[in-house]
Amino acid sequence: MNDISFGQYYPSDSFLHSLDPRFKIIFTIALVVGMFVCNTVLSFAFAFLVILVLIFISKIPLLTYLKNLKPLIPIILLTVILNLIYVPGKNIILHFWIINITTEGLKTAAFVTLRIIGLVIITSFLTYTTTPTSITSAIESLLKWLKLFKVDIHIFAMMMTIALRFIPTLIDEINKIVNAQKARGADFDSGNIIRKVKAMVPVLIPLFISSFRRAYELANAMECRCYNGGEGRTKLKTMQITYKDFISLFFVIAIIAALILLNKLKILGV
Amino acid sequence: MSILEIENLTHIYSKKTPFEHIAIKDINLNIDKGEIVAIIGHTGSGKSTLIQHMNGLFKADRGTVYYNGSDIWENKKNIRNIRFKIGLCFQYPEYQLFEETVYKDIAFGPKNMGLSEDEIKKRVFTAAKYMEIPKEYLNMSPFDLSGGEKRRVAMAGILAVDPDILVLDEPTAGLDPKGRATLFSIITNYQKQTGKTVIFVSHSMEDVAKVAQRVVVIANGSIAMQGSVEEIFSKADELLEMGLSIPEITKVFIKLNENGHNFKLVYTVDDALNQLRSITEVRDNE
Repeated sequence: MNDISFGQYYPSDSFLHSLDPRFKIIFTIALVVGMFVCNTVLSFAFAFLVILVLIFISKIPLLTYLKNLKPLIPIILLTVILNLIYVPGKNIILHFWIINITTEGLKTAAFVTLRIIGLVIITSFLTYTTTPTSITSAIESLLKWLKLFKVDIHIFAMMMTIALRFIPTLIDEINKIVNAQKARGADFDSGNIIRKVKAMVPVLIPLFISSFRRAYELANAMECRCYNGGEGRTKLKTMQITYKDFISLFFVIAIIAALILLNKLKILGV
Repeated sequence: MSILEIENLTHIYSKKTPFEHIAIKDINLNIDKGEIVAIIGHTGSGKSTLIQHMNGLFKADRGTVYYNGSDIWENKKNIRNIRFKIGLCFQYPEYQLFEETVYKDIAFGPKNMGLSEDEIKKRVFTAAKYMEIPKEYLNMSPFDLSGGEKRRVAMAGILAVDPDILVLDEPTAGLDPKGRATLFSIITNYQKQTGKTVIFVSHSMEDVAKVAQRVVVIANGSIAMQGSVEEIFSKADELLEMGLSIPEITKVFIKLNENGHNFKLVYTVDDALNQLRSITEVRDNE
């Protein structure tokens, strides 16, 4: 557990890193929608070309992105199998027992797989190039209009920020307590489920106690600095919209338009 | 013979990520039976990483730790028994307390060893005695005790395992001067009575000078120097360069010598007092 670095932020100085997080969130949503628009071989080819270019621009090794796909392999396999079996069609390629594998099935299976891979990589662009705290403040900024409905978005953003901020601290703390109890011979790895759950008690109790202590101390520290909610609060790091964001906006619109157009063109009927 | 032998130990955190960081590299260290060894070093120098290798909480990327001549990782299933032999007490150990009563918490280790109820009881009482925990505390909740008492309970939990080597990570961190003095006198008494090996990490040069027989200085993940208290603290300049210090009383005596006096350098207040007393006695006799 020592290698957990929370969030997936990958520090670098690329163009993608320097974009405004609010724009990045909107771009991500747009590209995710774009991935669902893809329906032909051409549009998929174009989408993946764009993804490859973005990977190159992000200055993050391709392998780091592929690592994100690993946990999805079972889901991809399952959808491929289900699509192969259940999608009806006329062109039967393989037939055995009651199973018919058709060209239509093959096509949907391939497209679904590509779509999942594309979606994962596109969302990775956001999480790899933006720190969790900038994502939260971007969400806070994007959801400002909720104030009209008397929703205090600042409180939620603050809670999110604090939660995110304390995840690495808590992971550190868990590691420390686990090691301290291991030093007294606690055994977390063997035995059945009930024994394993019981073995967690010596970790959970100290963890809860220290979490409450931390919460209490943090509340005091915030009060000492006159924190009283979001009204009139300024930020140390203000988000800046630059010409880069508008250039990117132009490209994203162009990409979506291209995807829609390419959907109309078909090679060999697919 | 060395009871603990560390050979070419190297540990790297977050390997193959942009956060990669070499915590310790090529550490070679021998600890003899019955020694009291102090490990000093700047924050982040790798002390805590090093001591967590001693009882197999960390597995090194390179290098070996030998306990009584055999590799502690020789048999992976045996690592729990190694942890009973090499008792590691973390910084702020009071944060690991979890049981309803002091007794139960101290008994956690011996229970994990699978000892009989009688043996557990014996061990809890012995450990509590060493740590000077009054008997009536044993039935109290550990969370009702004061900070210093909690720490003694937590340390008793390690002693109850009856390890051959006791490794302490900054045992006196956050205690007041009196608490520090009590804790160190407890530790030295325990060592004297049992003859066990004690390794401790400390930031207080006064404590190191008072208690340790040997000092190991770690800087940037390697052993910068090691030797007796006198040998180490006589290299004050080098220590200061590493962001470490020497005992305050030694600083006073260095200043006195710079101003023309001719004192023998001392490292503890008691030695300073003795030296000054012997001088005044000589004068009084004259």
